[in-house]
Amino acid sequence: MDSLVFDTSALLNFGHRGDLAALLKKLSSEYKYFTTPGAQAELTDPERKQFYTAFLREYFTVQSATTPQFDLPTLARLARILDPGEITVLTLAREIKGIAVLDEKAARREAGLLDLRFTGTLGLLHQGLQRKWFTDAECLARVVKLCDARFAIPRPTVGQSFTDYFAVLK
Amino acid sequence: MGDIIHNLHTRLAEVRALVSLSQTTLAGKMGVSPSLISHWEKGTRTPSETQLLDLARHLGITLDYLLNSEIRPSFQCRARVTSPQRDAIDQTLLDASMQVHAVDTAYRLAGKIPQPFILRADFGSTEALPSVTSHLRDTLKLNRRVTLDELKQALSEWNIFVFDWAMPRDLSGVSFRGAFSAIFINHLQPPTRRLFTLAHEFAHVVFHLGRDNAAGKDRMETQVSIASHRDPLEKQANAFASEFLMPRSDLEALVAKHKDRLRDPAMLEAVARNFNVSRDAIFYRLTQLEFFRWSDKSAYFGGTYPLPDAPRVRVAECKNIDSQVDARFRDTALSLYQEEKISTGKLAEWFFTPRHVVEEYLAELRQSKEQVISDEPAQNHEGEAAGVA
Repeated sequence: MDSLVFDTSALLNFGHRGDLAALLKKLSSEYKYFTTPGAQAELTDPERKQFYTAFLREYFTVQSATTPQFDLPTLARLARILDPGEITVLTLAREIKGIAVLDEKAARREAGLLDLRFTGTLGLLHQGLQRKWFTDAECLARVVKLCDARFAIPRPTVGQSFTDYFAVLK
Repeated sequence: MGDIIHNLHTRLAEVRALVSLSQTTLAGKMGVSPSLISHWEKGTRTPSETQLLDLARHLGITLDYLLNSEIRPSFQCRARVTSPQRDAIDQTLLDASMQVHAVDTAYRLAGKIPQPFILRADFGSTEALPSVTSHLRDTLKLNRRVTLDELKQALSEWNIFVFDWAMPRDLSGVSFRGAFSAIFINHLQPPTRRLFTLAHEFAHVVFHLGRDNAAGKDRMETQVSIASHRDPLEKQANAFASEFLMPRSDLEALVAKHKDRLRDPAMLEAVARNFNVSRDAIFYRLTQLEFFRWSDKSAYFGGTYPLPDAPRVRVAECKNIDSQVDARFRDTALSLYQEEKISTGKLAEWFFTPRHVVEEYLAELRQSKEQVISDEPAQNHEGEAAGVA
Protein backbone atom coordinates (compact mmCIF):
# COMPACT_ATOMS: atom_id res chain seq x y z
CA MET A 1 0.00 0.00 0.00
CA ASP A 2 1.36 3.42 -0.97
CA SER A 3 1.73 6.28 1.51
CA LEU A 4 0.53 9.87 1.16
CA VAL A 5 2.39 12.49 3.20
CA PHE A 6 0.21 15.58 3.63
CA ASP A 7 1.50 19.13 3.93
CA THR A 8 -0.43 21.82 5.84
CA SER A 9 -2.27 23.26 2.81
CA ALA A 10 -3.53 19.81 1.84
CA LEU A 11 -4.58 19.13 5.44
CA LEU A 12 -6.55 22.39 5.41
CA ASN A 13 -8.12 21.55 2.05
CA PHE A 14 -9.18 18.07 3.12
CA GLY A 15 -10.23 19.51 6.47
CA HIS A 16 -12.41 22.57 6.95
CA ARG A 17 -11.90 24.19 3.55
CA GLY A 18 -13.04 21.40 1.25
CA ASP A 19 -14.68 19.01 3.72
CA LEU A 20 -13.12 16.09 1.84
CA ALA A 21 -13.15 13.49 4.62
CA ALA A 22 -15.36 11.27 2.45
CA LEU A 23 -12.60 11.14 -0.17
CA LEU A 24 -10.05 10.29 2.51
CA LYS A 25 -12.26 7.38 3.62
CA LYS A 26 -12.58 6.09 0.05
CA LEU A 27 -8.86 6.45 -0.70
CA SER A 28 -7.86 4.72 2.54
CA SER A 29 -8.25 1.39 0.78
CA GLU A 30 -5.30 2.39 -1.42
CA TYR A 31 -3.17 4.66 0.74
CA LYS A 32 -1.90 5.13 4.26
CA TYR A 33 -1.96 8.76 5.38
CA PHE A 34 0.90 10.53 7.09
CA THR A 35 1.74 14.03 8.13
CA THR A 36 4.58 15.50 10.19
CA PRO A 37 4.79 17.40 13.49
CA GLY A 38 6.13 20.34 11.45
CA ALA A 39 3.02 20.44 9.25
CA GLN A 40 0.77 19.91 12.26
CA ALA A 41 2.39 22.88 14.03
CA GLU A 42 1.17 25.19 11.26
CA LEU A 43 -2.48 24.47 12.01
CA THR A 44 -2.51 27.66 14.03
CA ASP A 45 -6.12 28.81 13.94
CA PRO A 46 -7.29 28.58 17.57
CA GLU A 47 -10.93 28.31 16.46
CA ARG A 48 -10.18 25.09 14.57
CA LYS A 49 -7.74 23.49 16.98
CA GLN A 50 -10.20 20.88 18.27
CA PHE A 51 -11.40 20.04 14.78
CA TYR A 52 -7.89 19.34 13.52
CA THR A 53 -6.89 17.38 16.62
CA ALA A 54 -9.80 15.01 15.95
CA PHE A 55 -9.23 15.06 12.16
CA LEU A 56 -5.56 14.07 12.46
CA ARG A 57 -6.32 11.45 15.09
CA GLU A 58 -8.94 9.80 12.86
CA TYR A 59 -7.05 9.65 9.59
CA PHE A 60 -3.33 10.34 9.98
CA THR A 61 -0.15 9.00 11.47
CA VAL A 62 1.97 11.98 12.58
CA GLN A 63 5.67 11.18 12.42
CA SER A 64 9.09 12.54 11.47
CA ALA A 65 11.77 11.02 9.30
CA THR A 66 14.28 9.14 11.38
CA THR A 67 17.31 9.17 9.06
CA PRO A 68 19.00 12.01 7.10
CA GLN A 69 17.59 12.33 3.58
CA PHE A 70 19.16 15.48 2.14
CA ASP A 71 22.66 16.90 2.23
CA LEU A 72 23.17 20.24 3.99
CA PRO A 73 23.39 22.42 0.83
CA THR A 74 20.03 21.01 -0.32
CA LEU A 75 18.54 21.54 3.10
CA ALA A 76 19.88 25.11 3.20
CA ARG A 77 18.22 25.80 -0.17
CA LEU A 78 14.92 24.32 1.01
CA ALA A 79 15.09 26.32 4.24
CA ARG A 80 15.32 29.55 2.26
CA ILE A 81 12.05 29.08 0.42
CA LEU A 82 9.93 26.55 2.31
CA ASP A 83 8.63 26.39 5.85
CA PRO A 84 9.50 23.60 8.31
CA GLY A 85 6.23 21.76 7.57
CA GLU A 86 7.02 21.45 3.87
CA ILE A 87 10.63 20.46 4.53
CA THR A 88 9.61 17.71 6.94
CA VAL A 89 6.98 16.45 4.49
CA LEU A 90 9.58 16.19 1.72
CA THR A 91 11.99 14.46 4.11
CA LEU A 92 9.41 11.93 5.34
CA ALA A 93 8.12 11.29 1.80
CA ARG A 94 11.64 10.44 0.72
CA GLU A 95 12.30 8.21 3.73
CA ILE A 96 9.12 6.14 3.44
CA LYS A 97 9.13 6.36 -0.39
CA GLY A 98 5.69 7.90 -0.21
CA ILE A 99 3.88 10.53 -2.28
CA ALA A 100 4.00 14.09 -0.95
CA VAL A 101 0.61 15.84 -1.02
CA LEU A 102 1.53 19.47 -1.69
CA ASP A 103 -0.70 22.36 -2.74
CA GLU A 104 1.98 25.07 -2.68
CA LYS A 105 3.67 25.59 -6.03
CA ALA A 106 7.06 26.39 -4.49
CA ALA A 107 6.97 23.10 -2.60
CA ARG A 108 5.79 21.12 -5.66
CA ARG A 109 8.64 22.58 -7.71
CA GLU A 110 11.19 21.53 -5.08
CA ALA A 111 9.63 18.05 -4.86
CA GLY A 112 10.09 17.76 -8.63
CA LEU A 113 13.72 18.86 -8.41
CA LEU A 114 14.31 16.24 -5.72
CA ASP A 115 12.72 13.51 -7.87
CA LEU A 116 10.00 12.91 -5.32
CA ARG A 117 6.54 11.73 -6.27
CA PHE A 118 3.91 14.32 -5.44
CA THR A 119 0.27 15.15 -5.96
CA GLY A 120 -2.19 17.72 -4.58
CA THR A 121 -5.76 18.07 -3.41
CA LEU A 122 -7.12 18.41 -6.95
CA GLY A 123 -5.06 15.41 -8.10
CA LEU A 124 -6.63 13.25 -5.42
CA LEU A 125 -10.06 14.63 -6.26
CA HIS A 126 -9.39 13.64 -9.87
CA GLN A 127 -8.56 10.12 -8.71
CA GLY A 128 -11.95 10.07 -6.99
CA LEU A 129 -13.57 11.02 -10.29
CA GLN A 130 -11.63 8.39 -12.24
CA ARG A 131 -12.73 5.73 -9.79
CA LYS A 132 -16.33 7.00 -10.15
CA TRP A 133 -16.64 7.72 -6.44
CA PHE A 134 -17.73 11.22 -7.36
CA THR A 135 -19.46 12.72 -10.36
CA ASP A 136 -17.87 15.54 -12.31
CA ALA A 137 -20.44 17.95 -10.84
CA GLU A 138 -19.63 16.83 -7.30
CA CYS A 139 -15.92 17.37 -7.91
CA LEU A 140 -16.65 20.80 -9.35
CA ALA A 141 -18.78 21.65 -6.30
CA ARG A 142 -15.79 20.76 -4.10
CA VAL A 143 -13.56 23.09 -6.11
CA VAL A 144 -16.08 25.91 -5.69
CA LYS A 145 -16.19 25.16 -1.97
CA LEU A 146 -12.38 25.39 -1.81
CA CYS A 147 -12.52 28.72 -3.68
CA ASP A 148 -15.18 29.99 -1.29
CA ALA A 149 -12.97 28.92 1.62
CA ARG A 150 -10.26 31.14 0.14
CA PHE A 151 -7.94 28.45 -1.20
CA ALA A 152 -5.88 30.20 -3.88
CA ILE A 153 -7.00 28.42 -7.05
CA PRO A 154 -8.80 29.86 -10.07
CA ARG A 155 -12.58 29.75 -9.82
CA PRO A 156 -14.14 27.45 -12.48
CA THR A 157 -15.85 29.33 -15.29
CA VAL A 158 -19.57 28.95 -15.98
CA GLY A 159 -20.29 25.70 -17.83
CA GLN A 160 -16.79 24.30 -17.29
CA SER A 161 -16.54 20.62 -16.27
CA PHE A 162 -14.16 19.44 -13.56
CA THR A 163 -12.32 17.37 -16.16
CA ASP A 164 -11.69 20.44 -18.31
CA TYR A 165 -10.84 22.54 -15.27
CA PHE A 166 -8.32 19.98 -14.03
CA ALA A 167 -6.78 19.57 -17.50
CA VAL A 168 -6.23 23.33 -17.79
CA LEU A 169 -4.68 23.58 -14.32
CA LYS A 170 -2.46 20.58 -14.90
CA MET B 1 26.63 28.71 -0.07
CA GLY B 2 29.50 26.26 0.51
CA ASP B 3 31.10 28.49 3.12
CA ILE B 4 27.81 28.90 4.88
CA ILE B 5 27.32 25.18 5.21
CA HIS B 6 30.96 24.66 6.10
CA ASN B 7 30.41 27.06 8.98
CA LEU B 8 27.31 25.40 10.38
CA HIS B 9 29.25 24.31 13.46
CA THR B 10 30.44 27.84 14.26
CA ARG B 11 26.99 29.23 13.51
CA LEU B 12 25.47 26.74 15.94
CA ALA B 13 27.89 27.77 18.69
CA GLU B 14 27.21 31.44 17.93
CA VAL B 15 23.43 31.10 18.15
CA ARG B 16 23.63 28.94 21.29
CA ALA B 17 25.74 31.61 22.98
CA LEU B 18 23.27 34.28 21.83
CA VAL B 19 20.40 32.55 23.62
CA SER B 20 22.62 31.77 26.63
CA LEU B 21 22.07 28.01 26.59
CA SER B 22 24.83 25.70 27.76
CA GLN B 23 25.59 22.57 25.76
CA THR B 24 24.27 20.51 28.66
CA THR B 25 20.98 22.45 28.87
CA LEU B 26 20.43 22.29 25.12
CA ALA B 27 21.24 18.58 25.11
CA GLY B 28 18.77 18.05 27.95
CA LYS B 29 16.00 19.85 26.06
CA MET B 30 16.68 17.79 22.92
CA GLY B 31 17.12 14.47 24.68
CA VAL B 32 20.63 13.92 23.29
CA SER B 33 24.02 13.74 25.00
CA PRO B 34 26.04 16.94 25.61
CA SER B 35 28.94 15.31 23.77
CA LEU B 36 26.80 15.11 20.61
CA ILE B 37 26.18 18.88 20.79
CA SER B 38 29.92 19.32 21.24
CA HIS B 39 30.59 17.17 18.15
CA TRP B 40 28.15 19.27 16.11
CA GLU B 41 29.85 22.48 17.21
CA LYS B 42 33.30 21.11 16.45
CA GLY B 43 32.11 19.95 13.04
CA THR B 44 33.12 16.35 13.69
CA ARG B 45 29.52 15.16 13.26
CA THR B 46 26.57 16.59 11.35
CA PRO B 47 22.96 16.65 12.61
CA SER B 48 20.17 15.07 10.55
CA GLU B 49 17.20 17.09 9.20
CA THR B 50 15.05 16.15 12.17
CA GLN B 51 17.84 17.03 14.59
CA LEU B 52 18.42 20.35 12.83
CA LEU B 53 14.74 21.25 13.02
CA ASP B 54 14.73 20.19 16.65
CA LEU B 55 17.83 22.30 17.26
CA ALA B 56 16.22 25.33 15.62
CA ARG B 57 13.05 24.85 17.68
CA HIS B 58 14.94 24.63 20.97
CA LEU B 59 17.12 27.62 20.09
CA GLY B 60 13.96 29.58 19.23
CA ILE B 61 15.03 30.23 15.62
CA THR B 62 14.14 29.12 12.11
CA LEU B 63 16.06 26.48 10.21
CA ASP B 64 16.75 29.06 7.52
CA TYR B 65 18.41 31.33 10.06
CA LEU B 66 20.50 28.46 11.39
CA LEU B 67 21.66 27.23 7.98
CA ASN B 68 21.92 30.42 5.94
CA SER B 69 23.80 32.98 7.97
CA GLU B 70 25.01 35.69 5.60
CA ILE B 71 23.89 38.53 7.85
CA ARG B 72 24.98 38.26 11.44
CA PRO B 73 23.80 41.09 13.66
CA SER B 74 26.00 41.72 16.63
CA PHE B 75 24.09 42.25 19.83
CA GLN B 76 25.37 44.69 22.36
CA CYS B 77 22.71 45.06 24.99
CA ARG B 78 24.08 48.08 26.79
CA ALA B 79 21.79 48.02 29.80
CA ARG B 80 21.65 45.67 32.73
CA VAL B 81 18.32 43.93 32.65
CA THR B 82 17.05 41.96 35.57
CA SER B 83 15.23 38.66 35.25
CA PRO B 84 12.54 37.80 34.09
CA GLN B 85 12.70 40.61 31.48
CA ARG B 86 16.17 39.43 30.48
CA ASP B 87 14.89 36.20 28.87
CA ALA B 88 12.14 37.99 26.96
CA ILE B 89 14.53 40.69 25.75
CA ASP B 90 17.09 38.10 24.65
CA GLN B 91 14.36 36.33 22.70
CA THR B 92 13.26 39.60 21.12
CA LEU B 93 16.81 40.33 20.00
CA LEU B 94 16.96 36.89 18.45
CA ASP B 95 13.64 37.57 16.71
CA ALA B 96 14.98 40.89 15.45
CA SER B 97 18.10 39.16 14.22
CA MET B 98 15.96 36.61 12.37
CA GLN B 99 13.91 39.41 10.82
CA VAL B 100 17.08 41.09 9.56
CA HIS B 101 18.12 37.75 8.11
CA ALA B 102 14.67 37.33 6.49
CA VAL B 103 14.96 40.76 4.85
CA ASP B 104 18.36 39.82 3.46
CA THR B 105 17.11 36.44 2.20
CA ALA B 106 14.00 37.97 0.60
CA TYR B 107 16.04 40.57 -1.25
CA ARG B 108 18.57 38.01 -2.47
CA LEU B 109 15.77 35.74 -3.72
CA ALA B 110 14.24 38.74 -5.48
CA GLY B 111 17.61 39.42 -7.15
CA LYS B 112 17.99 42.72 -5.30
CA ILE B 113 20.40 43.99 -2.71
CA PRO B 114 19.04 45.99 0.23
CA GLN B 115 20.60 49.42 -0.08
CA PRO B 116 22.64 50.79 2.84
CA PHE B 117 21.52 53.91 4.66
CA ILE B 118 24.10 56.47 3.61
CA LEU B 119 23.62 59.40 5.99
CA ARG B 120 25.98 59.73 8.90
CA ALA B 121 26.61 62.64 11.24
CA ASP B 122 28.57 63.51 14.34
CA PHE B 123 26.45 64.38 17.31
CA GLY B 124 28.64 67.33 18.21
CA SER B 125 27.40 69.74 20.83
CA THR B 126 23.91 70.25 22.17
CA GLU B 127 24.02 73.82 20.81
CA ALA B 128 24.55 72.51 17.28
CA LEU B 129 21.69 70.02 17.57
CA PRO B 130 18.93 72.30 16.19
CA SER B 131 20.83 72.88 12.94
CA VAL B 132 21.81 69.19 12.55
CA THR B 133 18.23 68.16 13.25
CA SER B 134 16.84 70.73 10.86
CA HIS B 135 19.20 69.49 8.14
CA LEU B 136 18.13 65.87 8.67
CA ARG B 137 14.45 66.87 8.68
CA ASP B 138 14.93 68.68 5.38
CA THR B 139 16.84 65.71 3.92
CA LEU B 140 13.99 63.37 4.84
CA LYS B 141 11.54 65.96 3.42
CA LEU B 142 9.58 66.11 6.65
CA ASN B 143 7.59 68.97 8.12
CA ARG B 144 8.29 70.31 11.58
CA ARG B 145 5.28 68.32 12.83
CA VAL B 146 5.72 64.63 12.10
CA THR B 147 3.34 61.67 12.55
CA LEU B 148 4.44 58.09 13.15
CA ASP B 149 3.33 56.98 9.68
CA GLU B 150 5.12 59.90 8.02
CA LEU B 151 8.39 59.11 9.77
CA LYS B 152 8.05 55.39 8.99
CA GLN B 153 7.46 56.23 5.33
CA ALA B 154 10.35 58.71 5.18
CA LEU B 155 12.79 56.26 6.79
CA SER B 156 11.60 53.51 4.48
CA GLU B 157 12.33 55.76 1.48
CA TRP B 158 15.83 56.25 2.89
CA ASN B 159 16.39 52.48 3.08
CA ILE B 160 15.73 51.96 6.76
CA PHE B 161 13.37 49.03 7.35
CA VAL B 162 10.93 49.74 10.18
CA PHE B 163 9.11 46.98 12.08
CA ASP B 164 6.43 47.76 14.64
CA TRP B 165 6.46 44.69 16.89
CA ALA B 166 5.02 43.60 20.19
CA MET B 167 8.05 43.52 22.47
CA PRO B 168 8.74 43.18 26.21
CA ARG B 169 7.60 46.25 28.13
CA ASP B 170 11.09 47.47 29.08
CA LEU B 171 12.35 47.33 25.52
CA SER B 172 11.49 50.48 23.58
CA GLY B 173 13.45 49.88 20.40
CA VAL B 174 16.28 48.12 18.61
CA SER B 175 18.29 49.48 15.70
CA PHE B 176 20.71 47.93 13.21
CA ARG B 177 23.18 49.45 10.86
CA GLY B 178 25.41 47.44 8.52
CA ALA B 179 24.80 46.18 5.00
CA PHE B 180 21.38 47.77 5.45
CA SER B 181 19.55 49.38 8.37
CA ALA B 182 16.53 48.34 10.37
CA ILE B 183 14.64 49.73 13.34
CA PHE B 184 12.22 47.86 15.60
CA ILE B 185 9.79 49.76 17.83
CA ASN B 186 7.45 48.43 20.50
CA HIS B 187 3.90 48.14 19.15
CA LEU B 188 2.55 47.74 22.69
CA GLN B 189 3.40 51.35 23.45
CA PRO B 190 1.11 54.26 22.46
CA PRO B 191 1.70 55.88 19.02
CA THR B 192 3.16 59.02 20.60
CA ARG B 193 5.79 57.02 22.43
CA ARG B 194 6.50 54.85 19.37
CA LEU B 195 7.10 58.02 17.35
CA PHE B 196 9.58 59.23 19.96
CA THR B 197 11.28 55.80 19.99
CA LEU B 198 11.51 55.79 16.19
CA ALA B 199 13.19 59.21 16.21
CA HIS B 200 15.45 58.01 19.05
CA GLU B 201 16.51 54.85 17.16
CA PHE B 202 17.01 56.92 14.02
CA ALA B 203 19.51 58.98 16.03
CA HIS B 204 21.43 55.81 16.90
CA VAL B 205 21.55 54.87 13.21
CA VAL B 206 22.76 58.34 12.18
CA PHE B 207 25.14 59.14 15.03
CA HIS B 208 26.28 55.93 16.68
CA LEU B 209 26.03 52.68 14.73
CA GLY B 210 28.36 51.15 12.16
CA ARG B 211 31.38 53.14 13.20
CA ASP B 212 33.73 50.33 14.10
CA ASN B 213 35.23 47.88 11.68
CA ALA B 214 33.05 44.99 12.81
CA ALA B 215 30.03 46.50 11.11
CA GLY B 216 30.32 46.02 7.43
CA LYS B 217 29.28 43.78 4.65
CA ASP B 218 28.22 40.80 6.72
CA ARG B 219 28.07 42.18 10.22
CA MET B 220 25.31 44.38 11.57
CA GLU B 221 25.95 46.52 14.59
CA THR B 222 23.07 46.79 16.97
CA GLN B 223 21.83 49.27 19.51
CA VAL B 224 19.27 48.11 22.04
CA SER B 225 17.30 50.75 23.92
CA ILE B 226 16.06 49.76 27.31
CA ALA B 227 13.74 52.06 29.24
CA SER B 228 15.31 54.27 31.90
CA HIS B 229 19.00 53.63 31.61
CA ARG B 230 21.75 56.17 31.81
CA ASP B 231 23.96 55.47 28.84
CA PRO B 232 25.38 58.69 27.29
CA LEU B 233 24.46 57.50 23.80
CA GLU B 234 20.89 57.02 24.97
CA LYS B 235 20.90 60.58 26.28
CA GLN B 236 22.15 61.86 22.94
CA ALA B 237 19.45 59.90 21.13
CA ASN B 238 16.81 61.31 23.47
CA ALA B 239 18.09 64.84 22.92
CA PHE B 240 17.94 64.34 19.15
CA ALA B 241 14.42 62.86 19.27
CA SER B 242 13.25 65.78 21.43
CA GLU B 243 14.65 68.38 19.04
CA PHE B 244 13.47 66.43 16.00
CA LEU B 245 9.86 66.21 17.18
CA MET B 246 9.65 69.31 19.36
CA PRO B 247 11.99 71.95 17.89
CA ARG B 248 13.34 74.22 20.60
CA SER B 249 12.52 77.39 18.69
CA ASP B 250 8.87 76.31 18.22
CA LEU B 251 8.49 75.62 21.91
CA GLU B 252 10.13 78.88 22.89
CA ALA B 253 7.65 80.69 20.65
CA LEU B 254 4.79 78.82 22.33
CA VAL B 255 6.06 79.70 25.79
CA ALA B 256 6.41 83.35 24.79
CA LYS B 257 2.90 83.37 23.38
CA HIS B 258 0.96 81.44 26.05
CA LYS B 259 3.15 81.90 29.13
CA ASP B 260 1.52 80.48 32.28
CA ARG B 261 -1.51 79.20 30.39
CA LEU B 262 0.75 76.31 29.35
CA ARG B 263 0.66 75.14 32.96
CA ASP B 264 -3.01 74.18 32.56
CA PRO B 265 -3.02 70.34 32.11
CA ALA B 266 -5.57 70.63 29.28
CA MET B 267 -3.35 73.14 27.48
CA LEU B 268 -0.32 70.90 27.99
CA GLU B 269 -2.30 68.01 26.52
CA ALA B 270 -3.22 70.13 23.50
CA VAL B 271 0.42 71.11 22.94
CA ALA B 272 1.47 67.45 23.21
CA ARG B 273 -1.15 66.51 20.60
CA ASN B 274 0.07 69.30 18.35
CA PHE B 275 3.58 67.83 18.35
CA ASN B 276 2.33 64.20 18.22
CA VAL B 277 4.15 63.36 21.43
CA SER B 278 3.08 62.27 24.89
CA ARG B 279 2.43 64.63 27.79
CA ASP B 280 5.54 63.17 29.42
CA ALA B 281 7.66 64.13 26.44
CA ILE B 282 6.38 67.68 26.21
CA PHE B 283 6.75 68.07 29.98
CA TYR B 284 10.38 66.93 29.89
CA ARG B 285 11.08 69.17 26.92
CA LEU B 286 9.59 72.19 28.69
CA THR B 287 11.58 71.27 31.77
CA GLN B 288 14.75 71.38 29.66
CA LEU B 289 13.68 74.89 28.66
CA GLU B 290 13.28 75.66 32.40
CA PHE B 291 9.58 76.38 32.02
CA PHE B 292 8.76 73.53 34.41
CA ARG B 293 10.74 72.16 37.32
CA TRP B 294 11.18 68.41 37.81
CA SER B 295 9.28 68.72 41.07
CA ASP B 296 6.19 69.87 39.12
CA LYS B 297 5.85 66.40 37.60
CA SER B 298 3.56 64.96 40.28
CA ALA B 299 1.01 67.67 39.52
CA TYR B 300 0.69 66.43 35.94
CA PHE B 301 1.31 62.70 35.97
CA GLY B 302 -0.09 59.94 38.07
CA GLY B 303 1.65 56.84 36.79
CA THR B 304 3.15 54.93 33.90
CA TYR B 305 1.68 53.45 30.74
CA PRO B 306 -0.21 50.24 31.45
CA LEU B 307 1.59 47.99 28.96
CA PRO B 308 0.59 44.39 28.47
CA ASP B 309 3.37 41.82 28.69
CA ALA B 310 4.48 40.38 25.39
CA PRO B 311 4.50 36.59 24.96
CA ARG B 312 7.84 35.03 25.85
CA VAL B 313 8.76 33.09 22.74
CA ARG B 314 8.71 34.60 19.25
CA VAL B 315 7.52 37.77 20.87
CA ALA B 316 7.16 39.49 17.56
CA GLU B 317 3.88 37.97 16.52
CA CYS B 318 2.22 40.38 14.11
CA LYS B 319 -1.53 40.43 13.70
CA ASN B 320 -1.72 43.43 11.40
CA ILE B 321 0.66 42.86 8.51
CA ASP B 322 0.09 46.24 6.86
CA SER B 323 0.90 48.33 9.91
CA GLN B 324 3.52 46.16 11.61
CA VAL B 325 5.69 44.81 8.80
CA ASP B 326 7.96 47.21 6.90
CA ALA B 327 6.15 48.10 3.66
CA ARG B 328 9.09 47.57 1.30
CA PHE B 329 9.98 44.21 2.82
CA ARG B 330 6.29 43.19 2.79
CA ASP B 331 5.97 44.05 -0.92
CA THR B 332 9.20 42.23 -1.81
CA ALA B 333 8.08 39.14 0.10
CA LEU B 334 4.59 39.25 -1.46
CA SER B 335 6.13 39.52 -4.94
CA LEU B 336 8.20 36.42 -4.23
CA TYR B 337 5.06 34.63 -3.09
CA GLN B 338 3.12 35.72 -6.16
CA GLU B 339 5.98 34.56 -8.38
CA GLU B 340 5.69 31.21 -6.53
CA LYS B 341 9.28 31.42 -5.33
CA ILE B 342 8.30 30.95 -1.68
CA SER B 343 5.40 29.23 0.07
CA THR B 344 2.61 30.61 2.26
CA GLY B 345 4.27 29.10 5.31
CA LYS B 346 7.52 30.89 4.48
CA LEU B 347 5.66 34.17 4.21
CA ALA B 348 4.16 33.52 7.67
CA GLU B 349 7.63 32.79 9.02
CA TRP B 350 9.08 35.99 7.55
CA PHE B 351 6.17 38.13 8.78
CA PHE B 352 6.27 36.56 12.26
CA THR B 353 2.58 35.91 11.74
CA PRO B 354 0.46 32.80 12.34
CA ARG B 355 -0.28 30.97 9.10
CA HIS B 356 -4.05 31.43 9.30
CA VAL B 357 -3.55 35.23 9.62
CA VAL B 358 -1.37 35.26 6.49
CA GLU B 359 -3.94 33.14 4.61
CA GLU B 360 -6.69 35.59 5.54
CA TYR B 361 -4.49 38.48 4.46
CA LEU B 362 -3.65 36.86 1.10
CA ALA B 363 -7.32 36.06 0.49
CA GLU B 364 -8.27 39.68 1.14
CA LEU B 365 -5.53 40.85 -1.22
CA ARG B 366 -6.83 38.55 -3.96
CA GLN B 367 -10.37 39.74 -3.32
CA SER B 368 -9.43 43.41 -3.51
CA LYS B 369 -7.47 42.81 -6.73
CA GLU B 370 -10.46 41.02 -8.28
CA GLN B 371 -12.62 43.93 -7.15
CA VAL B 372 -10.30 46.43 -8.80
CA ILE B 373 -10.34 44.43 -12.04
CA SER B 374 -14.13 44.17 -12.06
CA ASP B 375 -14.48 47.90 -11.26
CA GLU B 376 -12.17 49.00 -14.08
CA PRO B 377 -14.05 50.60 -16.98
CA ALA B 378 -13.98 48.77 -20.30
CA GLN B 379 -11.04 49.75 -22.53
CA ASN B 380 -12.07 52.19 -25.18
CA HIS B 381 -8.95 52.80 -27.21
CA GLU B 382 -9.13 53.53 -30.90
CA GLY B 383 -10.76 50.67 -32.78
CA GLU B 384 -11.00 48.46 -29.71
CA ALA B 385 -13.91 47.61 -27.44
CA ALA B 386 -16.26 50.35 -28.62
CA GLY B 387 -15.67 49.59 -32.29
CA VAL B 388 -16.26 45.90 -31.84
CA ALA B 389 -19.46 46.55 -29.89
